[in-house]
Amino acid sequence: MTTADHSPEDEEGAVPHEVVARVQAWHASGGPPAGAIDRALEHLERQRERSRSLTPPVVPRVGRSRRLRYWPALAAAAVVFLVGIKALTWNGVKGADQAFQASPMIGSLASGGTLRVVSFAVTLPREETRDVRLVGDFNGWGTGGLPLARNPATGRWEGTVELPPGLHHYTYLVDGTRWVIDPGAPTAGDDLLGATNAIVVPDTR
Amino acid sequence: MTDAELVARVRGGDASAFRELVARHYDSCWRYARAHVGDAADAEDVMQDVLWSAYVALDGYTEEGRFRQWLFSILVNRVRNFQVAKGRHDRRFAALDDAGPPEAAATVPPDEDDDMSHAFAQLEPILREAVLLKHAEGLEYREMAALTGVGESALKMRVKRGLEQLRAVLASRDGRNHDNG
Repeated sequence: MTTADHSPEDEEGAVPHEVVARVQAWHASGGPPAGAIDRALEHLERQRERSRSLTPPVVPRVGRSRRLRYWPALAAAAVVFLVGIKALTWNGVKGADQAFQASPMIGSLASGGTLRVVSFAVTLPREETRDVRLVGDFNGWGTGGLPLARNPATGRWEGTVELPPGLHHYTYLVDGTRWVIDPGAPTAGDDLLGATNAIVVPDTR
Repeated sequence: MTDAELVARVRGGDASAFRELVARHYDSCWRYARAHVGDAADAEDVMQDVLWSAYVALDGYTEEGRFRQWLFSILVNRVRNFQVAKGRHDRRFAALDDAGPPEAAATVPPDEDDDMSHAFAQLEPILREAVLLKHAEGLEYREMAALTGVGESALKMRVKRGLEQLRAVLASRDGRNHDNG
């Protein structure tokens, strides 16, 4: 039975079977080095221990802090800070798959005690995305994460979380299966976690 | 025991069930990662990332009976992230070393003794990805579309172009090997 996958007259054209055979033979040869699986499981266990030792997740609250007296000046300083961060860390994304890129949208800072209300927003290329969660060291990289809400006006997935001063790693979990980093937001390499997004919350006390 | 049954056991706290899932799928995932990143050690790093991502996302896994495709969706994503991160790293350190224009993130260090490794290293990442998913992993185009977010027509074109480029590079290498032989 001829299907769209096997018809020689569709977009795929005539399949060079000799090349396919070499691809398959090459792919089947070799294999992971001895002990790779054990090392992977040991690494996983260390990551599990590390995530359990993190501080309890910050319970996100949407809304402003009570201390709003100095927010105009702090907001202005935050904008300058964010622009500086973006200028220092922007490398552009060249060579990445154009069909995959997420639109960059870094959160804005607002004032509030020692915790800062940080807003996250991301645009995803797939319209059928059903669930987006913000996952990071501030919520223990938990499977639940912070569910983001889709803004019907802009199409962006948005949410806020209160974060203490310091460096925070995060990423987005899409439909429970895809881990998406925002290529337009600052990133940080981590030996355990790989590439993640990162945000530095300033300590303005 | 099926993958779905093992997943259920993992959710029930059975650590050995996760080990079994890893043992069952690690080899094929590692080969895919290795074909993209070109280095065995880097492929192991990618796999550690994949396994952690799969472990934390397992509670949200709902595609019963299609665990391999679900795992591969994570793998494809992490390989892409690795290549983006590597591209940034190469550009940053090339600038610091003042060593001239940085190389594209798409370049995989070729093993000169392996014609196929060399041929794959010449492909753009999106072509390499399409060829591997179709002809090395044996996925149907609709599965590839669901996994990559790319339309079937575009995927077929990528496979076509990828195979054409592989054939050209291999023909060139085969001719050179014949002359040197």
